[in-house]
Amino acid sequence: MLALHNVDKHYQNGRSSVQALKNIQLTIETGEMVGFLGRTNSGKSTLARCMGFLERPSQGNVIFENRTLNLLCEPERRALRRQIGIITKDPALLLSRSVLENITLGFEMHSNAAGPERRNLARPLLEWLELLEYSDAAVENLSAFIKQKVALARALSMQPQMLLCDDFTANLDSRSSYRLVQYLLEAKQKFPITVAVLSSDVEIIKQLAKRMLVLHQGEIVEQGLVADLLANPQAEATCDLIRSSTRTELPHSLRRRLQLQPLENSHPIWRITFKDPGEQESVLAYAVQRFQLQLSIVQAHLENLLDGKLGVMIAEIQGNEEQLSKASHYLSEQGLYNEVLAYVQ
Amino acid sequence: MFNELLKACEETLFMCVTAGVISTLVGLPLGTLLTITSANHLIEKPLLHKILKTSLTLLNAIPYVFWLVIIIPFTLLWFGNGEGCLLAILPLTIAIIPATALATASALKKVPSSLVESALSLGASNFQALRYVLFPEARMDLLQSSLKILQELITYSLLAGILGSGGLGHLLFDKGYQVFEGSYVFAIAVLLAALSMAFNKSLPWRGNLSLSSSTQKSRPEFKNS
Repeated sequence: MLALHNVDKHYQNGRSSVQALKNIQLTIETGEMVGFLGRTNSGKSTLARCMGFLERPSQGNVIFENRTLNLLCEPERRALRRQIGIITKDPALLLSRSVLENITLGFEMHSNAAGPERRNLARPLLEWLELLEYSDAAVENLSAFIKQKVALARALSMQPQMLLCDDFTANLDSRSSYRLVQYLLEAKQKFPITVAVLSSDVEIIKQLAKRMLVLHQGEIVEQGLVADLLANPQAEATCDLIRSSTRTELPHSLRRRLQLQPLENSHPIWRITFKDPGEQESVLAYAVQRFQLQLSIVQAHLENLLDGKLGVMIAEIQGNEEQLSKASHYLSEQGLYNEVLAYVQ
Repeated sequence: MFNELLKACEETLFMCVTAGVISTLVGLPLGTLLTITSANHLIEKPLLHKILKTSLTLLNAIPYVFWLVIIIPFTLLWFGNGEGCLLAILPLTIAIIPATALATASALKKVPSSLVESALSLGASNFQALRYVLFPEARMDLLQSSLKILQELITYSLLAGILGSGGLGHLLFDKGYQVFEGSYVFAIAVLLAALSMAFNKSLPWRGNLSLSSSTQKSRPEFKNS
């Protein structure tokens, strides 16, 4: 279990001080898969470094397996760091070493195993991540995806209890990130690890986490199950992140006409979400009839989350303003969360 | 003439290499300390860092001739007049230590902090971070700067030679300034150019050197760790 109590972190930048984390309070249970959603500059990396014991918080405590960071001496902290693997967007591989030597760095530092033994120790990892053919290659000219796999292997080489993934797909194309996500899911099956994913990409968190915390300007503004937050985000920052990610999925022709503020003659586009899809169509059909709305569906799909499914529908809605707000209220009562994504004319 | 040149050459090399080795022994740890005490590095010690940095920069700014002039009289008292080369080694060493330390520091600074952190997250101690990350990653830069320093030492040793210690500088002063003998001066010029170029980083064999120490090389010194 990893817990942060009232963690503050500020950096001294010349004379001014920058507050990176404000009063962070969180608990990650053993074996959990938890996601942190936040834009760049929201304090994600600082949080990851604090959780990985690489950074001392300015205030507050980091507690890992009932041991408090502030009370530990340096050798104890070092031993604990080994329990927490980290991958970041920068694979940070040593250019002076081959792929294999990068992965076995931990064995080299902490065990007496000789060269061939270390190779054997790393072999299962290399096989699993399909890195065998690269094991003696120089690191410099590998692709970003392979470098990131090597970084993952290195992070898992010490058999950590926890793996922190800080924006690890930032430099990868969508296919490579998808495959890396699959590897992480496999890793969760193979090893008894707790996984914390920090990302600015909702998609990554959807695939990897059951619970999610939203970071905004160094604060946790919202937390809950991924399905709940996606269906019914409360905090402004969460809505913003989800809306902007949804907008980019809209068809191009529609996206060009979007307006963030209502204008004359414009009508809203709604994003309607519902958990565990089933009977909702009839509720929607009834609402359309009752409130005399015109509804044209732009997009509708089911999202497979780690626990359960989430239905997402994006629709242009036309109707009398009063009726619209009544309809919105009615749908929410029936468990169909809805919000205005944008407006079109 | 050949024997004289050879002896002078030997003396110059002896001076430079000895001074180089001693200054590395002192300058390398100093430079390392300077780097790791900087902000957000292994051991953050702002005060020590500031003191080290200021003093090294100041010392580095003092011209080499200054050390030569104030130290050679003392070494004359110490060793007597006999050992010309030994006279020059102390001022040479003192003059080059700050440069070595600063060059070491700048080479180590170039290693991205993310690499150090990745080792720390595997549980590395500060010493291990230096041994497995900082020095191996900076080794090409360290090698280049030490070659450059050797080159500089040769220039400095000429000056020392003119002030009375041995080596090519002394020979040049004798044969070139006091009685002009063209053949000597020409031969010395060629020798100096050759020595300086031998340490030049732009020569082709330097390229080979960097290849041979690349990642493919096995590193026996790490085997028993």
